[in-house]
This record gives sequence, structure tokens and C-alpha cells, in this order.
Amino acid sequence: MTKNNKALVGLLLAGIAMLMLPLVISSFWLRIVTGAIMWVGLAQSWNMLAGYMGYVSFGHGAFFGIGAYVTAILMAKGLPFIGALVLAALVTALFAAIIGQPTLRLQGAYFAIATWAFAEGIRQLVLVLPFTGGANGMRMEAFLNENFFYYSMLLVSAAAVAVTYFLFQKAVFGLRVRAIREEETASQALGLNTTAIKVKVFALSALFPGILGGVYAYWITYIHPESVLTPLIADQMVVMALLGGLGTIAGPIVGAMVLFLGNRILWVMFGDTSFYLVLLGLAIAIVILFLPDGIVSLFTRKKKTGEGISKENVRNITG
Amino acid sequence: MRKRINFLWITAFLLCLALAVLSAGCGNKEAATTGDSKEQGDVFKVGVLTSLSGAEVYGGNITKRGYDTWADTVNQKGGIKVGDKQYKVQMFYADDQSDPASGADAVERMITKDKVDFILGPYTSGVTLAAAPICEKYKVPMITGSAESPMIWQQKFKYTFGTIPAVNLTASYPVNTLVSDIPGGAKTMAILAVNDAFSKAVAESFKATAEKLGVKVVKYDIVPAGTDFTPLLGAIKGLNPDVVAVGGHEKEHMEVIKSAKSLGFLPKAFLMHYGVTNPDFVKNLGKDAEAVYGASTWTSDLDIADALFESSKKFVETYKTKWGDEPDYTATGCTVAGEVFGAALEKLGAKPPLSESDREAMVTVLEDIKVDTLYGATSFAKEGDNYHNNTGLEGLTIQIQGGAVKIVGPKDKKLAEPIYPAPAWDKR
Repeated sequence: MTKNNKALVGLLLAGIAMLMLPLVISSFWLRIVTGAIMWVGLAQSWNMLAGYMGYVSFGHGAFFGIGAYVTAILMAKGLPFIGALVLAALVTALFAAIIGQPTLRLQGAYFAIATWAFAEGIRQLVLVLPFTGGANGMRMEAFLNENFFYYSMLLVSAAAVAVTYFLFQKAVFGLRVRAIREEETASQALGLNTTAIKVKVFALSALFPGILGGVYAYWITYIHPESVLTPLIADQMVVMALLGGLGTIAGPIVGAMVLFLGNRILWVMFGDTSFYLVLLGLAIAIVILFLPDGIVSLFTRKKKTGEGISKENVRNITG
Repeated sequence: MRKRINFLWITAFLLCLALAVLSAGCGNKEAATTGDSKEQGDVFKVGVLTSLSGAEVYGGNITKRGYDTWADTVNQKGGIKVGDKQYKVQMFYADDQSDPASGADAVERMITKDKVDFILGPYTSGVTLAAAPICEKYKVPMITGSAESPMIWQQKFKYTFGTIPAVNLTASYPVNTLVSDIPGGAKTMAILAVNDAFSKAVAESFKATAEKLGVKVVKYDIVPAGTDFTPLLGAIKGLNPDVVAVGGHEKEHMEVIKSAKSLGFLPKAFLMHYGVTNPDFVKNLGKDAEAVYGASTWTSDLDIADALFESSKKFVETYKTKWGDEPDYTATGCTVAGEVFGAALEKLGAKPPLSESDREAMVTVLEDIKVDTLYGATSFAKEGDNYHNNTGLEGLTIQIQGGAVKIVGPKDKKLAEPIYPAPAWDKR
């Protein structure tokens, strides 16, 4: 109980600090933190799918791009930002649910390749469609309010973290998802409708990148297939989640913060040359080498985090 | 136990990292004080935003060389003259990682942390489009010596200017030469382009000019990057057009020539764009590069008077001694971007650091400026679709002759006669 109270107080303080942040830091560092928070949301979304369900997607960047493009296209048609964003979120989740039907039947490397191919397909599609600006990309009217984008990203990423915690760590749904990760055939034998669960998780893990993509588009004001649909986005989600610790709630947060802020701090220090990229690569290599379970494994004793399956929960899982 | 060892490793590594960061930080400070600035306010602070890492690092480095050539020469000559005093320039570099979002971060940093007076802009159009709104927010003028997407100028950013004319302004020149200047000129044309913003704009411009001049466009294909050109050229061979026009970059241009040769197909002329001026084009293709047409705004053959370097020839020399290569039109456009700022500051007569009203006044000065630089007459459009783009320049038709880039058009500027039709593959 006291441990829980402590955690709660810590969380509350962190929350207040995050809310007050724009008052104390410069507009430049606010931009950097906004970017870092966006990546926390992205890495956490990928973690829902890969960390909790064991399905490694290399195409998750596509949902970020879809969200960005749908928002940009709708805003160009005259919709206000919030309206466009809500629609973009719905479109992205729906899209994922449809894509998930065939791809989630695959497993392991086959699933990874299928999602990668899907993302590549979307990128080529955007390059040729008449209403996406093709290779020219799309530009949106600039709304130059750093605080607005900071709080928007914070809200979405905090929601992604909260969903991970309450749905995947605490709820029975999370147990079912983790049962699929541990042994899919056995969980089917237990009577779980694994297809339905998998599609739900896939759609949920696409929803947040979709929203973040929309906010990103409005923030940066210019999107292009090479900037929002590049395979690098999915790759970074993967690296951040792995760096921090896969299948844990803190892992993607730590991974995204370390990688993004590390990149930017080194960039500020060594910005004249690209030497800082070597340092960054070295840092990642060392972490992977010595901490294969991610940075958070330094602070936790349990190998796999999340609640153990108690007898009571075993009864719940199939119910 | 193992965990403990791991932890030690990590701590040791972090310590090393911190040490490296710290020493580099000190190194930077040293460089700043031993550099040209002794007192604050005595120099113009110039931000350089370009791609120093990522996919566009090759082009990014070319822009950096162009900007550095300007800064070093200005500082050697004592600085920019404002009133009766000269002020040196101090460069602040920021890497945009070839990514618009990083570019926006970089520009915010240069403006709010380094407090730069003006900005020499990015290599890519994408980063320019992301950085421009931030320049608007802080009212800091930016000139890009490289970005050339027409989309930038259509947005009408008040604080963003560009020295390189958009592709749609230059691509018409070689088509004109091929069709109108050469007796019995081209009658039919096939157009092939890669689906990226630059290449597509080139193809569109080729097509529009050709159609305007009554040339029949027999094929018009926009293909994804990485496509094999051999089957496409096979199809074009069957149509036997006078000209095969290509929108692409160096790599694609070379592939087209190689594929055509392998098919034994030789139109009367190959027409490409800037890529053929890259020394690698001739180096890799040898005699096969002969007689290929291209478009440019500037070549190192030209001899144009210049206030800073005396002449474009002297500039080429300076650049060559410094970097070992001849400058191409991008490096030159970047050097000229610096020169234009210099000219504007002299005209404005404002001392560093520039205040917000100085910077606002600078935009007005830039809009009305007309400088004769080593690049040619440089001035910026005040309205229309080319808003703040350099419309003072004229395009050039160029051709590879004897392994060198020669100017063959327009009529009043040519330094060599155009070769048409191209000699057979085996008779070179």
C-alpha cells in the first residue's frame, strides 16, 4: 500500500512538472521535449503490439503517415484541426483493423515482412495519388503556438501510456493478450477468440500513431512521403522500445527519452559535424550488448514485467 | 553479480561520454574566441542550416562549402562594410539530419540560442518548407542557395528568399535551343522522369515547352525511383523520337545512357537537366556522355564580374584551391546567397546585432535589390508564383562536348555550336 502511495505521489509530481514545463524552459527546448514526448507515444504504441502480444510490426510508421496525411487533406478541405484529427484517428484505426484481418494470421518473421510491405505500399500509393500532393508533399497553414503542440502531444502520449497501463498491465484483457504472446495455440485451446483480440490490439496500437501523425503534420506544417512514411519511423519505434525494455510500461518511455533527447543533446554539442551519430550508435550498441532486456532491467528484478497470472486471473482470462 | 558488472560498464561508458561532451563543449568555446569575434556585437552572426547527415549529406556538404567560401573570403577582406566600418561574419552551423522536423528544431535553436542575424538556408526544399514558418515567427530573413521546388515560392513566405531559379524557369531553355535554334530541329520527343518533386517538375516543364513549340510528345512516363529503364527505352526505341528527355538525378541519367547503349538505341539528342554538369557524369560514362544536352543557370566556363571575388573565374580558382573540386551551380548559388546578404546589409547600413526592425527593413531591401554577382544579375520577384525566388537570371543550354560542359544556347550566350544529331555510339 505504501509502495503504491509512493508511486502515486511520484506520478502526480511528474504530471505537475510536465504541465508546468512550458513556463520554465526556452522555446527551443520545449520543441525538443515535444518531439521526445511524441516518440514516447509512438514507441509505447508499438510496445502494445510487440511487447504485450509478441507481434513484431515493421510497418507501424505507415499509421503515423496515414494520420498525418488524412489530417492534412481534411484541413486543406477546410475542416478545423480537431475535427480533422478525430476523423484521422478513426480512419487510421479502421484501416489497421482491415489490414490486421489478413496480416495477423501470419506469425513471426512473416508478420514482420507483411507489415513492412504494407507500409511500403502505402508510401508508393501516396506518391501517385492525385490528392496527396504526390512527390511534392503537402503544406499546411502554420499555427505557431509551441505550447499548443506540447500539450497536444503530451495528452495523446499520456493517453497511450495510460491505456498500456490500465488495459495491458491491469485489465483481464491484458492477460488474454499476454497469453497470446506466450502460447497462441494454448490460448485458443482455452477458448479465447484470438483473432478478435489480435485485431483489437492492432487497431489500438495504430490509433495513437495516427493521432500523433496528425498533430505532427500541423506542428511541422510540411509533410512528404519521405518524412512521414519513411521506414525509419517504424525502425525508431522498434529501437526505442527495445532500448528501454520490451513489454514493460517504462521501457518505451525511457527508450524514447534516452534516444531522442540523447540525439538532440549530442546534436547541440557536436552539431557542426555528424560525429555525434557515431557516439549515438556506440551508446545503443553498448546498451544492447550489456543490457539485452533494455535499460529498465537495471532497475527491476523481474525479467518479464507485468502481473503474474494468479489462480484467480486464470479463471478470469477465459471468462 | 552480472548485473553489477553491467552497471559498472554503463557507468564507465556514461562517464566517458560526459567527458567527450565536456571537452567538445570547451573546444567549441575556444574556437569561438580564437575565431574572428573578439567582442560581442562586432560580428554578424550567420546561421547555416543544412543537411550534414542523413540521406542528403552529399548535397548538404556542397551547400556548406559554398557558404564557407563566401564567409572565408568576406572575412579575409575585412568583413561586410556598413557605413565606415567593416564587420566580419561568424558562422553557426546546424545539421537538419535531412529531415524537416529536425530542420525546424535547428532553426529554432539558431534563432533563440545563437541569436543569429540571418540564415543561409537548407539544401532540400522539404527542410526549407518546415523552417520557413519559424523564420516568419521570429522575423529572421533566410536565403537558400539550393532549394528549388516551385512549391516554396507559392507559399509566399515573407522572410524566405532563394538564389537558384525554380526548375520551371530553366528547363525551357534547352528545349528552345533544340527546337528553334538548330536548323531542322527536333520534331518529336519522348519524356521519361522519376517520381520525385524535382524530376517531375523538370518533365512537366519539358513537356509544356515542347508542346508550346509544336513538338509532338510521343511518350510521357513518370516512374517510381529505382525502376529499370531498359524496357521503357525499348518501348521508346520503337517510337523513334528525335529527342529523349529525362527528368532525374545523376544516377538515373547515367542509367538511361547505359540502357540505351545496350539496346543500340540513339536518338538525335538526349536531353537531361542539372545532373549532367556533375563531374561524375562524364567520369563514369566517358565517351558515351558525349553530346548529351542539359540545362543550367551557371557553369564554371562563364566569366562574369563580381564585387567580392572580382570575377567568376577567380571564384572558381578560390573554390578549387579550398575544396579540390570545381564548384557546381549549387555551391555557386550558396556563395551568392551570402553575397546578396552582404549587399543588402551594406545598403541597409545596419550594425550588428540586427534588431527586429532592422531585419524587417532588410526584407524590403532584399525585395528591391538588384546585384550583379558572379552568378549573373540577381533579383527577387515581389509577387506571383515565383515570389522571392531569383528571377534575374537567364537559363543556359549546355552540352557535353569533348568531355567538358559547353554552353550552346541561347543564341546570344553560346560559347560553342550545338552538336545535333549526336554521333553514333561507335564513332566517337
